[in-house]
Amino acid sequence: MPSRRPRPEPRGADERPEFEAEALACLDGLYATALRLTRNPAAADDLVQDTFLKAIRFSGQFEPGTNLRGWLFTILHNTFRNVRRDAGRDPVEVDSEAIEQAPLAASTADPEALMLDGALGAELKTALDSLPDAYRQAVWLRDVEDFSYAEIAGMLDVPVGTVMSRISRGRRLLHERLTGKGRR
Amino acid sequence: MTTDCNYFEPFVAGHVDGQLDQENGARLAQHLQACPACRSLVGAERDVRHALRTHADELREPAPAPLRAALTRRATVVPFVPRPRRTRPWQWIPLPAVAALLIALTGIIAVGALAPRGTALAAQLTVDHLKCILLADRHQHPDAHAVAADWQARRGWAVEVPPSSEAERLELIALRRCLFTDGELAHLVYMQAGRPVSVFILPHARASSPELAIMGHEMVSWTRDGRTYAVVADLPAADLERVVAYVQPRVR
Repeated sequence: MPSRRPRPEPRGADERPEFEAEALACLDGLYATALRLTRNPAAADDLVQDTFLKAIRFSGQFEPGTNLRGWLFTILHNTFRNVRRDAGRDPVEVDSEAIEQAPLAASTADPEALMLDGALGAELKTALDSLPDAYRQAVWLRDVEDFSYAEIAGMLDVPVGTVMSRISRGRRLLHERLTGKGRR
Repeated sequence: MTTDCNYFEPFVAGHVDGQLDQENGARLAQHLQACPACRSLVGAERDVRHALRTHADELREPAPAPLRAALTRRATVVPFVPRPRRTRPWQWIPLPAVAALLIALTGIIAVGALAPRGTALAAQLTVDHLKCILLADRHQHPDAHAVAADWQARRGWAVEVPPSSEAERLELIALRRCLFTDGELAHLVYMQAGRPVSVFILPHARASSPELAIMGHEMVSWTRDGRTYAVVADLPAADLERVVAYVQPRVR
């Protein structure tokens, strides 16, 4: 059996049955995130399955008591990046034109706040899906999955400052799309 | 907007999320007092953040039941008891054993350039065989024509799927997509008398030895009309031959 370097002894789920139960508890969040990443149910299904297989395969590297949910989301995003790279697509398609068109300022007048409050989940989903990938990922992980900036930076493999600016720009683009307001 | 605004603009999200350090937080707060434009940015971000958090449960679509069932089944599989090969009926392999095998096979793939001709291909397909039988639902018996039509609709290239055969005790379980170094391939999953058999359709011709044994699994492959086909299974030789004889003329 050829091998390039020693590998850690694989430790399976039988040594830590709680590992898989805890991983399964994160399934809905992982699937919802996979769906926003891929925007395709079949691809989301594949991505989640691959994520679970990798998580189980490398479960020996996970430190019990640390953040399993964050660890699984990191695997999910790494897997997504690899699949996109293999398919010849850059996973982070920062749409510079969209950035330039993002409104630089918006009013906090009550009517707009009311419009956003009244926005339906479906409208939000459509608006989210219309964002460039990099912004959608950052906003989703922050505002829907409630991860910290540092956790998101680890998942997306970018500095915290980049996470902050992607969240900011993503939210501004969403605001523009949800209120129908263009550039001032 | 002023030069100050350009400086402070990247900190707006951190301010809204309460994730700025004390120094930057204090400086931005001071700027906001004097700058209506940046206060508007804060307001817009706050509104969007509030809307997303309010609707988070609606936005998060739950995992489909079949996916949950497949992953749950994997998690509750019975413990693996090694028995002499060929004498046991095939049983679901527990995840730890599969994980160990996958790691071993990854080693073969990693040194594919040095390995004997076709070994890396056999290792890759054996990985996919193990992965997909682990995830496929044994209790599904889809129609061969229906899965072929669905494949063409979703993937854009046509396949012909050998149907289940009572005479061969061969049951079609699933048609799955696997990712390969050259792109995607079609993976037909069957059960032969209760044992998993994989039939792969690679849309491009690949060099490989016709028969290879790897990690206890045999691969029989052939190339026809610019496509490469492979059968991967852990079956007695006579049974494997029958499966190949049935599949070969029917798969495209």
